Amino acid sequence: MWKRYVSISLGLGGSIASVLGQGVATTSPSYVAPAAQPTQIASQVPTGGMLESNTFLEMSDRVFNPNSDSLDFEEGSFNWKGRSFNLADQRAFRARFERFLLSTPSKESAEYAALMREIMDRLSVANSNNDETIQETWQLLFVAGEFDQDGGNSVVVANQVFNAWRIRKESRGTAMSQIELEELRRNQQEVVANRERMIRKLKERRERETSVETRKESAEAEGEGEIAGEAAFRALDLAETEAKLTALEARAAATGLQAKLQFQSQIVAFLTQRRFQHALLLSGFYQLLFKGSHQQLEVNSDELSAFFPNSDLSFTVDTLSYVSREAINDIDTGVEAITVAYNEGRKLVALERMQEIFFLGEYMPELDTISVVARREFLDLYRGMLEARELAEAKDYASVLEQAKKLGAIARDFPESRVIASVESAMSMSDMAVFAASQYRNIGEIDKAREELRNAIEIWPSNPSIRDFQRETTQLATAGSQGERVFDDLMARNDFRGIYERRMELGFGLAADTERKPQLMAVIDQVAKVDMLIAQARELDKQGERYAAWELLETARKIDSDDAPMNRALAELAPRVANFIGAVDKAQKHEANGEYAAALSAYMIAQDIYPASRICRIGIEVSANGLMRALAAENVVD
Amino acid sequence: MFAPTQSKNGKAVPILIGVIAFIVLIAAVVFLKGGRFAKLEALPVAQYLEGPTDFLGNEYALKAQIDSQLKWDKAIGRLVAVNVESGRHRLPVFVPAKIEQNLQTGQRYEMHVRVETGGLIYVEALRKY
Amino acid sequence: MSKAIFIFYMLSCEKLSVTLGANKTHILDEVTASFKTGAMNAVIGPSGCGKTTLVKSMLGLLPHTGTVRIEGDPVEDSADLLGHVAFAPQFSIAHPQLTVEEVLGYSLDLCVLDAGVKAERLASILDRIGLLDRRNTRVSSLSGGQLRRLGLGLELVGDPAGMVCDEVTSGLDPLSEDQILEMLIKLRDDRGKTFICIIHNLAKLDYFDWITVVFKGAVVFQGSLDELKAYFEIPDALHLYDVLNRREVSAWRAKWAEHLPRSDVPEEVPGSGKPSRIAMPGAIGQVGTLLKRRSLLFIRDRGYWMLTLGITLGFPFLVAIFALDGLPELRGLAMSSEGGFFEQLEDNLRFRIDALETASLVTGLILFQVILLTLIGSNNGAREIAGERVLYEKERFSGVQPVAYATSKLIFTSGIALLQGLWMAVFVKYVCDFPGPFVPQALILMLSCVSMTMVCLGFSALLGSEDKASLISVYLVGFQLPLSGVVLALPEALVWLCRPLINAYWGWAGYFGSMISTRFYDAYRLESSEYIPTPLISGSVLLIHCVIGAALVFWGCQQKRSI
Repeated sequence: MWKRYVSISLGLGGSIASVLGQGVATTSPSYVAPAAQPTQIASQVPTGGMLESNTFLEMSDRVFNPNSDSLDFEEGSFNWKGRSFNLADQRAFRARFERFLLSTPSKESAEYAALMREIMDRLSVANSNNDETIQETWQLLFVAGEFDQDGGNSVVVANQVFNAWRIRKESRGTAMSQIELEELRRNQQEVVANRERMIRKLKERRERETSVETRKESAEAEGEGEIAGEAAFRALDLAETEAKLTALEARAAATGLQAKLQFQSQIVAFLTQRRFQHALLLSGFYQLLFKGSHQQLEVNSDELSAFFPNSDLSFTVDTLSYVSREAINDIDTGVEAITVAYNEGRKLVALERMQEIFFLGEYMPELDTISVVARREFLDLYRGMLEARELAEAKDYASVLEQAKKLGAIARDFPESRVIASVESAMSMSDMAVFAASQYRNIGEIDKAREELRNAIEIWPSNPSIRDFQRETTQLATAGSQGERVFDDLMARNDFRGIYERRMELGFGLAADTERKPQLMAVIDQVAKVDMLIAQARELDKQGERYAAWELLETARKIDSDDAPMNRALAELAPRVANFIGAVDKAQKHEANGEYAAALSAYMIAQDIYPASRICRIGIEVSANGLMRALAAENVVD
Repeated sequence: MFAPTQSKNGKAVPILIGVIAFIVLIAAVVFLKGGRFAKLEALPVAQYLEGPTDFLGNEYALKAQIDSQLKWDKAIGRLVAVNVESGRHRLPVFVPAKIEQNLQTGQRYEMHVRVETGGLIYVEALRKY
Repeated sequence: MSKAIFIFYMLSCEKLSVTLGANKTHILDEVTASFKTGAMNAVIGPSGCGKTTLVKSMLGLLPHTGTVRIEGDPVEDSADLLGHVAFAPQFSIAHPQLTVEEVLGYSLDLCVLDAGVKAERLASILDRIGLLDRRNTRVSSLSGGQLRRLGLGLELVGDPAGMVCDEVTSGLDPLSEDQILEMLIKLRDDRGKTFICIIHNLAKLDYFDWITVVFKGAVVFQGSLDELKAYFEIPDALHLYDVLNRREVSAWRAKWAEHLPRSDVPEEVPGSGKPSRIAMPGAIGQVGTLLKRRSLLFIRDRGYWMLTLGITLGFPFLVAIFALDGLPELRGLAMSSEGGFFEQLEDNLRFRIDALETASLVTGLILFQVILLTLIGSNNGAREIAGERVLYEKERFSGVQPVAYATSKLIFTSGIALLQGLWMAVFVKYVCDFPGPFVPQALILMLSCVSMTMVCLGFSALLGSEDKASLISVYLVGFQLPLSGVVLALPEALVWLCRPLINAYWGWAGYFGSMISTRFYDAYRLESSEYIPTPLISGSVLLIHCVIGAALVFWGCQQKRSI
């Protein structure tokens, strides 16, 4: 069962400590690998101890990992509906998350939220916006920018808008031609018929252009259906418009296009930074400022590809605003879900969602709808799980259990019993290994004992039994060194019982002693035999067979005449078999003196008292033989 | 003139014969019951068992029943355990080879014994009864 | 009276008294009477007056006081009368199975030594009693009169000087009566014999010379017929009893006392026939005769010998029934203990049970044999003597010696018993295959049977009646089993008190003792240390029993019984 054994160096407590220390040190790397190879572990089922610890670690990992599955901290990304966000620093994220949980929504944030709502409403297409209203709305941005929450992003929006205005003023001149160009482009949309031709044309054209654009178009060209069509259109438009724009750009340093481009890139930036509100704001302004036209995004294709890795949407500002809205909706839904889950007590689930939603909508005011109480609880849960995870990693099972209890108290859906079972199983496995180690140690199989101890430590380093084992071993080691002297002493006094009583220590101490160990075994054997005979005799006496009992004790006495328990038993029994003993004694005396006839008579008397007596039977046989021999000798002489 | 030709068989004679016969009868029975080794003293079994060597050289009569045979040697004889008639004990006796008699468990014998070296009960003669 | 006078009186008595019973009623009260030699003397008197008593007591057959003289000499014992006076009882006592000649022949053999004399006498007696032509007729076939004549004939065997006849003619027809009286007279005339007859028929008094009248225990008249008539003043004797009854006996006594003194000179009487003293056979001779007769009787008595044969042959069968398959095999007990302790115990127990059962069976069978033999013995002996006691007494009066008689009985019964015992021994030995030496066993069994026979014969001799003897014998047999102590244990004190007397015990012990070398003996001995006598001792004791039995027989035969 225990295939891997840990060796213990004898006699030195320090080495044990080092082993333990070593054990601790080796645990961290040792279990990560198994955790990543579940199949391998399954095939290693016979390696009991390791499996248990692995299972626990796996479980602990799963159980105590507060991080949402969606958050892949290793690769530093957050995956949301096929879109991945960059998660540059998990620690920072965690900190922010915790801060969020710690925070209390203030009046300020409510005000900010209201303000943002107002701004967005004003930017809504439904409103009929003129320059004045736009201006007012633009001014509100600065108000918003004063809030901490805003992070200055509203100002950025405002700047962009201002910039756009400035540029637009500058490129008024070019605006007409731009507008005309736009109209022209529109007309051209009706003309284009064959999509594939267009695609091919596009391809050919794109090969002549920059690699970035080629990629984009090829990506676009792989699209199907009306999206491809539109994409083709877009591509064509874009190509043409680009040419135009390029030409225009050549003419003017700062053109509306530039502003647009800047605008667009800012929107994308906001999106990737998860400032969905600001993205919406900006795209709102964009709609207003660049009315209808130039929706197509021309910038940040890399970013966007990264942002939409699986998507072959052509990126327009609409798209971006759509995505933003989607995100905002998701956040709303998420918050609802969290609240519901929380209210139902499924806080673990709520916490996971919380993380996702937090990441997504960190800057969203909806998050403030999550109650402070809930937040605190989530925080407790989060922290608790982290801590438990740490403890599990450290294999401090006792603390893990405590922690698990706490977590179970907080979250109903926390798998407390599973944790407890796992922990207890691991603890008992460790205990068993310690026990096995002590057994091996006691019989002198040190290597095996070492293996077992290593197992035990590996499973549960802080197992108190290990301490006990260590203490015991130290004692034995101490005793062991005195073992020889003690043994010799006892042997000299023929105190076999004394040796027997100290057999554990002596066994341990003389394990390697080739001269004394056999003697020790012999003595143990002998005393065990005597004990067995005493026990049997007692049993027979209980059944009323006191003579048979006495005979057994006599046998024991022949083995060791000085044994105290045996002599006690004999003394207890003697008065009740006095007549028999007397006869046997007499017979034996006669036998010893060679008076075989008299011995025979006495044996017969004894045999009459206890007919089944072995002693008498043998005595009679011996005496009869002796007598016949004597008679034969006489005969010969006669 | 009157010469009786027959002897007088008085009444007294038959009676006398009868009485004498009866007495003889009882006496014979009592006497003959005595046994062949009547003149020998009976072995004092209890004392013997106390100290077998206290009776060395003495001759006794012993009535016992055969219990079992302990040893047999063709040239020497046999060692037999007997149940003494008078006591509850068993004794070992030695029947020398010269006494050629079948001994079986359960048979009762009247023995003429002598206590030999070491307290051995040596059978000189035996008579079945 | 002087002796000279007495010579003329064959038989006389003085002051003869016979008492009976505890209150001493006088049957005869100081009677003085005398009977003439060579004459026909009649003794008459009413019934129950003491006639028979007078005569029997004078013959010594009844105890009496007073003096009796025969030809002047006092009679001490009835043996004194032997050869002088014979007694013919009323009913003849002879073995029914013998012929007339045989009866007389054997009687002669018992009394007469000389063969020539015997032959002559036989012929003479047959002639005299007129049964010559009936010599080969069995006694059982004779008529009443013939029987009486035979009876008389038997008394003539010893050729006595006188004969006492007890109502020899009673119950016979007048012709037979006359014949007999004629015969008597002839004998008186031819041989000078004296007859003293007790008669009832007063009409025949004229045959008689001397009449004695007995009335109520006293003699009230002695004299001739004419003198009687005169004395009693009666025309004929037939009136006598009436006249007697008119007076008290004392009156008659007184009268007779007056009349008694008579002339010194007696009438002329013919010279009394000297009794011829012929040699009698000795005891041994008598034994032989008796044995011969007994053997003949045995053969002739079909019923008896068939019974005897039956039990002789049948009883061994009874024994054999219980051991038809032979005696059981006895598994032995190992001498040395080879097996384990408990095995040994088991073996031991099994053996003990086997042994006890076998021992029980064997001792039972032996005891059964012996008891059957005692039964046979009792059957042999119980009725032997008591059954013919009267005859014996009669013959004894005639001269048969008790010793001879007893001896013959002993020999006869013992002989049969020996054969019976032997047969039992042989049969059981070879059918049941009893082990042990045959000779001692046979001897013991024979002795068992013989000793019991003798003891029962002794009872037969001692006890008056056949039935009593039989009963006692059967009781004795019945007690053999329980008092032997073999099957049922007697109390210690009683054991040796009873045993010496219990035949069956010694038979059993002797037989069983003979099996000492067998496994059955050992089996018995396993549990019992009791003393078992040797065959020799047992045989000796049985012999002693025989001796005691014989002694009883002799003693019994010695006793006198009334005929």
